[in-house]
Amino acid sequence: MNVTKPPTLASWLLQHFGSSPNNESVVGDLEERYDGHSPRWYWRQVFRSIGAAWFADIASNRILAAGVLGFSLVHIIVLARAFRYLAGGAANPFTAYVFTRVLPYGWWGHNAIFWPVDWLMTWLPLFLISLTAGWLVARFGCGRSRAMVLTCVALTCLILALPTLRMLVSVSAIPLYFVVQGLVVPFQTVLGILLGGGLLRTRRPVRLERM
Amino acid sequence: MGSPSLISNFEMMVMLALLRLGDEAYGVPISEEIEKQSGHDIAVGSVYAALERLEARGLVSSRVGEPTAERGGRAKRYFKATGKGLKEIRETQRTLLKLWRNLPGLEGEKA
Repeated sequence: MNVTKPPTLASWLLQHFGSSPNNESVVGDLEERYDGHSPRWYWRQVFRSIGAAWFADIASNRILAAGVLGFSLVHIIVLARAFRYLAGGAANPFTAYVFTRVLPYGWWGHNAIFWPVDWLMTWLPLFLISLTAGWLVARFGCGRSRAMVLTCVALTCLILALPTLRMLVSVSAIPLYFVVQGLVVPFQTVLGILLGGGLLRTRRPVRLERM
Repeated sequence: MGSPSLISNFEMMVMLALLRLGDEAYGVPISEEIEKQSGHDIAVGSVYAALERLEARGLVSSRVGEPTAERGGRAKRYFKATGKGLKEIRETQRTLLKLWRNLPGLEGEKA
């Protein structure tokens, strides 16, 4: 009996991002084969298995994948416009609303209250946009929702990587507030798509007799 | 290219491994068999991707076995070639043998 447990994070990644309809069997097979192999072998198998299932789904649903890529671009544009609206002006309109209508007016002068509220009022709407985008992709994924959500995440990462890297290169010239925002936005965008798309939910094994 | 009835090189390897293994064919022995015969490291996920394509075309069928402790309580999925699959593999073999015969570039070499 196999007593050696495979790397937990790799198993988790395969269970959540593996888009094969037989993903439970893939996870079980890899666990069975792990005995006598190195963690590196297991990690390689996990990445290749996720990639193989993803590419197979894209190849067999090219029109849907193209639609998801287009939708992901629209999502990024909406996100960029929302970010400019919330963080580009003198004051976030939602923050202003909270301090004029919800909280006592004088509280805006306290840094310990103002900044957390301002960050929340900036990040929460952006997070909700990504959450909705992920949900929509999964909802219209036509039985291939995992692969389509991964496609959306991949394109989003690709587009957000360049401005994030540019910001990290010139980090000393940018105020800390904007550096934090610049790092949180890509992270919460990806997290929002994954959460909305249901990829972080624990999967229940499907057991069907088909022969 | 083009014809949906053509099976790829890797799909054919998977089909042949299935036929060699008989009733005990599931992801682990299939990938081990291909690794043994080809000498290359095979990803279990790639084997399943090929099996799912073959199953969608009706060339293989599958059933779920009992969960076992060594697999973390997960069930095995056994695969079997269908009659259509056997016919397809025979046709592919015949075509390949015809194409393989009298190749000027490979004269003196054994296939």
